[in-house]
Amino acid sequence: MGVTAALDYDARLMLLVKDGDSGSYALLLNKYRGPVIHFLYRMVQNQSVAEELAQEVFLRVFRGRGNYEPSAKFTTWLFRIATNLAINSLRDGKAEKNQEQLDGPAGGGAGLQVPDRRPTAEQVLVYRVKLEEVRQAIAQLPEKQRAAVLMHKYEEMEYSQIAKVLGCSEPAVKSLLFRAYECLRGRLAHMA
Amino acid sequence: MNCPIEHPESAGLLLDYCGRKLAPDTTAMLERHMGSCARCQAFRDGQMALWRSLDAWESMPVSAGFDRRLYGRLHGPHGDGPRTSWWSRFFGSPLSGPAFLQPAVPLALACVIVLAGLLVNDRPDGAVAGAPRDAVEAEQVETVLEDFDMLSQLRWQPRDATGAASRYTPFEAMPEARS
Ligand SMILES: [Zn+2]
Repeated sequence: MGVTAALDYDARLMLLVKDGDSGSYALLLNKYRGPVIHFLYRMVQNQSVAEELAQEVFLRVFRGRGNYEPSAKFTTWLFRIATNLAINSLRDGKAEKNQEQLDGPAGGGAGLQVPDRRPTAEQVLVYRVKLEEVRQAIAQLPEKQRAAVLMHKYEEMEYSQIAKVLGCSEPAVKSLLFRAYECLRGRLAHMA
Repeated sequence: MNCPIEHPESAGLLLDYCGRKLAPDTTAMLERHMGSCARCQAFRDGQMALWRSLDAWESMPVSAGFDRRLYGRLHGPHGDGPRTSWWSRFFGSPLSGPAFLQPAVPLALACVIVLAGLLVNDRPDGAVAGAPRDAVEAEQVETVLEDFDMLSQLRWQPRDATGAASRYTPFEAMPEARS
């Protein structure tokens, strides 16, 4: 089996981008636009900042195509760029300057998951309070713990991938996650 | 077995159990332990409840102009963005198969076929082999719409490692990013 055959599909697409294939870039953008923006949104908790950072991620993917080496999964490389940008943004305080309110357009998902599809005012209020508590609890985590939880819970990434993104060992990621979840369980225990 | 909570090196074991990622034999062994360990039971219940709480934070919709802004920046004054040639517009990525089988283009093809059908039926003699004109048009439109429907539900599967010919596959069956 050749090296190319062993590569994951996305890495093969990225190698085609490196060779100048625009169709492959469009495919990668289409596949990862949503996951990257959602990850960044949960990291910085501001929609416009998240989308601005996501633009930067995909610009860097294109501009860095010449140096791309498929030594790891494409998603590892992609989320490493996204995580670094998010952490830098948090340190610059960009997201805080534009902190969104809970009832803003990006306050949560597409809608409430209630059986009759027509939530009462009370249900909406309960949902918003619950969502705000989740957001606050995650926002209070240290940057690395936050990134690890988001990649593990929402992106369903493996420990080995998270470790490569964060530049630490796999046992360190497990320990990071264990502490982060312990903290979240404590903060959100009353919601159970 | 040793209690995983008391051993930091097995910190991931309980998380994997809650995420249903453990092998069946390890799952069975851990469940036997949990039967007599209140701490592990409490961890499991707390973690499952936490994940249900985190599920409340759903994804948000992406702004409609995201791609336009991105390509604008890539093609901007200092951009060296991906130039989309007529070739790549038509044939897409070598790994994705022809772009002309993606949903927008079949619609255009369908329109061309309908128009062609109408032009044929507008011949001066107005004759259409043995069928009333309205019936033929309706049938053509129906066929074209069915074709369009079918095409829009199908995508090309990428070539395999040996470069074997692509075959049709539902979009959901395309390879995932993570194993
Ligand atoms: Zn135990």
